[in-house]
Amino acid sequence: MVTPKLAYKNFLRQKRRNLFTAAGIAVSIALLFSTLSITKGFEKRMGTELQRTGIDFLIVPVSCAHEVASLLFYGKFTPTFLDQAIVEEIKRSPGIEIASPIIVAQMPDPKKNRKTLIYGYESEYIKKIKPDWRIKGEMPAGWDALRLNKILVGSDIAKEKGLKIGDSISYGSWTFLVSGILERTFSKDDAFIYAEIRTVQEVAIKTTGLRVIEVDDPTCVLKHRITDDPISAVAVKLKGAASFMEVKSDLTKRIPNIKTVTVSDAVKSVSAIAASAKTLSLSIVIVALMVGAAGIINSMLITVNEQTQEIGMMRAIGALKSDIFKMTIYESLIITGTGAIAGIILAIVGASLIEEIIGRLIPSVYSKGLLAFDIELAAVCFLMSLILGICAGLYPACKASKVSPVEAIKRL
Amino acid sequence: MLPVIALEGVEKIYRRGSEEIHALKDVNITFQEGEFISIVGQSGSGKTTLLNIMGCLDRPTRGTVKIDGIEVSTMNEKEISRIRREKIGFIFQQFYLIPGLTAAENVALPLKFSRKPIDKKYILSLLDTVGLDMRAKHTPDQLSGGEMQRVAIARAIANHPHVILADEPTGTLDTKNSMIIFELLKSLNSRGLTIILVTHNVAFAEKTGRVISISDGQMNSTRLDSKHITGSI
Repeated sequence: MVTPKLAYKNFLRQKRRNLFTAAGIAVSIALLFSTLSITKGFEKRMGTELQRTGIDFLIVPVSCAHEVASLLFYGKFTPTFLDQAIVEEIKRSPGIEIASPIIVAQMPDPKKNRKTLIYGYESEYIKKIKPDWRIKGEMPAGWDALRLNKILVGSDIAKEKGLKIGDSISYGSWTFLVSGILERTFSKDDAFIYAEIRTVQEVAIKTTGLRVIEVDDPTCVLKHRITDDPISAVAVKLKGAASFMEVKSDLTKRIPNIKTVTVSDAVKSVSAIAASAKTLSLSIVIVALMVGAAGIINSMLITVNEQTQEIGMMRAIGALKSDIFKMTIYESLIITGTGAIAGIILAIVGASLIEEIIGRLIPSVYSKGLLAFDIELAAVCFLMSLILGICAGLYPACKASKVSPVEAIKRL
Repeated sequence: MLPVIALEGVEKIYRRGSEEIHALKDVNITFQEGEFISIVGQSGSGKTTLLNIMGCLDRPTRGTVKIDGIEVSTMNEKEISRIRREKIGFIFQQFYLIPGLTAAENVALPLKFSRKPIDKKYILSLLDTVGLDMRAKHTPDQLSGGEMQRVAIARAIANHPHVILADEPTGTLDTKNSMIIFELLKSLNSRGLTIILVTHNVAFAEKTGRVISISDGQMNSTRLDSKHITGSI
């Protein structure tokens, strides 16, 4: 095989230009690898979280139920609320073991120029809703927790702000006391704050700018009702032998304007959001790859032009047109292959930065720890780069193989 | 015995717009095995065109070209490439060594294009023939002009060609290196290899077995060694 070595030597001769061209491919491949890796990691994690969750379904306001439920599961403030009074109605259903209200509010974090989410739970049920949680310190509970605004902070927040148990932290006009720190769960739970439900209800009421919040009326007497006990959803765990369909039927018959959403339904909703994000990201990657391909074509055409006389000499000493064609394609493959390897390394090394960007672009996707080396994805990206190399090398290779030895040598 | 190269009624016309340029006019000549022939003439006289046609790099507009009795002017690209690989060795004025390759790798190129196995000892023996076996691992940028041309000569003979076509091989070299190159060509000729040398150097031309002078695309005279002169002028 003569041509790969010649192509490699050619690559080295124009090292700087080829490395710049490869750098363009590296960025594109890094984007591709990151997108595929994060999507794959996200889908895998969702499956794991599905197993971990200690609840069977959520009861949410009927409008945009799936969106609300998925945002609750994966972390987002939801603008519609239920009245906490609904919880007692739900508990009357015979198949239900636990019905625990949840509320999500958002607080401004001026230092980070973003909103921090605070989740409100009933402390007595938290161990059943989140069975895998390991807490340093204590989960805020009781009147003391309300009086002192006690909170439990996720491990990412604790690390980011250097919080220890007993520290105080302010968000806008609120000052909270850290009573517990959640040990790392490697899920979106690490990025939030947790408190007794009443504490979060107050935050929700004040941050909406109203004293009370208008909710869909569960009793259907009025279209809307005003409450000062808003909740975002009710987490429900069924008794062992209870049928979800029967409980659902009973609840929707008795309580209007609610919807039940299972964890798997929510996962599907989040998957759909992630799929849209993936499509968008892949569109950007395709544009980047096309720009990279244009760079390769340009670089290879310059090379062919510079080496016309050498190509002519090679033809004179017996090289076939196909030898020259292959040599040019190999050189293109070396550029894209180098770019692909660099891109994959770049994606791994810059994973935390990429995850941070993804996290900001798609807040409902907890991106930390998603980007990791995966041999299958690396192979896909490498293969993509080779296909790109072949496609981008075709025109310069055709041009090189058509070089007439006489014309080439005449260019002296 | 078949001539190594035979040209019959060869014409080459280039077209520049509506103008026709007759680079070669009715050339009839044969070259026998073992000859050392020089082709001399002014710039633009048609020497290189003649050499390119003999070397299957270019096709005549009219006439036939036979190499070892095989008509080549009607061959397709693949067949012509094979003829170039197997029967002809080229030496250019500008050497055309591949910069990233060592001297040995440059010499091995024709063998690689012929899909032949590379025998390192053979490559070294070729470099030894041109006195550069000690510089086998040097790249062109580590060699002088004369040395590069010697490597180009080793490359030209790597495939055991029947004829060497040398297009002003001393054109860019100083006197000393020019002498070395010419002596090398003579030495190869003394081993039975046919050499056709295009040169401006009259002193070298006079030392070859036959001199062909070319002007305005026509061969005007030949000299010496009349037994080899079978072509018409």
